[in-house]
Amino acid sequence: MFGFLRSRPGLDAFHQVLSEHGARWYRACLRITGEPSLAEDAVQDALLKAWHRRTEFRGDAELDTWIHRIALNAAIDLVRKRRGPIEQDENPDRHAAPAHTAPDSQYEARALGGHIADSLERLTQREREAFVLKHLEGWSLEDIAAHQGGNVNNTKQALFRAVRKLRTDLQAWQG
Amino acid sequence: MTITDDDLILYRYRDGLAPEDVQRIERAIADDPAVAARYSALTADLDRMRAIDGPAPAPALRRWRSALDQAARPAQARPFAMGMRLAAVAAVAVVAFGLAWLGHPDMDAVPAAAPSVSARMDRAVQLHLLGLEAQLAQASRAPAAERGAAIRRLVEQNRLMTTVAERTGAARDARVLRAFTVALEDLSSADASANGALKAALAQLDFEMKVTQARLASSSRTIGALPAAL
Repeated sequence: MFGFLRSRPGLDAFHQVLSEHGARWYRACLRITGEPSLAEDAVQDALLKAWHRRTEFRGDAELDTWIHRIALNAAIDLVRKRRGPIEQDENPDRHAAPAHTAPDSQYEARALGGHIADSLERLTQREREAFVLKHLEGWSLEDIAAHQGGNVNNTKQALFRAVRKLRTDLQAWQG
Repeated sequence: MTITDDDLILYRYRDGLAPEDVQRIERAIADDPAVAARYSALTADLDRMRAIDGPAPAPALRRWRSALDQAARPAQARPFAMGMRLAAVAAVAVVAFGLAWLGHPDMDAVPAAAPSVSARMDRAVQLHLLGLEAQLAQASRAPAAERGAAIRRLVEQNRLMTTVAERTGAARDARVLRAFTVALEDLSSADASANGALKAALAQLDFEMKVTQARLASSSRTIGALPAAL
């Protein structure tokens, strides 16, 4: 009966969700953009968009999930604006070997995260989006294809290439 | 039928496969140790690829909180929005004045000692550029989400002023203003959200404005009394 009250989160709710999940939104955007400044802008754009559209928030999803999704879309849009249409950076064969060797210290886990981030940056934009949105964000292939303006088969191929390249890098780091 | 790594990737996500293909892969994993080993290696690698982590930078968190607070205070006349509105009103007033002045029936009857039409136009253009510069500086400090719209408003103002210059026959002023329109359009369409690009473009635009203003100020049609005219 009072569902409409839940559908309009206030400023406190936004601040709380930002404190709890802002870092996660940022990391998700960073994986898409590969550039910290673009990721920061994407999160800010998403927050402001969500705030201005808060009356549209139905409460059937968590506020965090809603803003997270808007942030990913903002990140994709910002990359498109910066780098032009997605086809322009398509060079599936481009993927230099990882610059680092396998770490054997107690910081291995953290180093691995850094290596994977580096490796993600070396993917083409289409491959990175396909992998991040599928593997880390759990989007459906159809949704990803719709965002990329292509068909599901192209998205699948981009995902396959991304996984192949990332696994090759992983094996190189693991020696 | 051969089970490829690509098949196993789709199976891992349970997406993009027909139900009969899912069953076929399930059977292969259960029956064939080699396929099971490949699938196990794949899932282990994919799980390791979730290792990306790290905090958001503290300055970014502060910036996001500040932007949120600012967006939540529309009724308190946020400095940026109010400043942009005032500057826009001033710019439109200059243009409106110019249009009204151009359309005045006694325009040709001004005394010989009064400034010429081209001198008046120079003055109006300089006023316009000063306003434009101030508004651009404000736009550069605006949240990314508002920046593009702010710059597009400046494009419209500049187009209006160009029309005024063209109607007075002030070809040089019109040419200068058209160049600024192009630069502003590039700024609004290229990437209003990219801070680095915006700042670089603003610096270039600022430089060009100063050159233009200096040229106008030092031209034979002296406009040194500009502040008094305000």
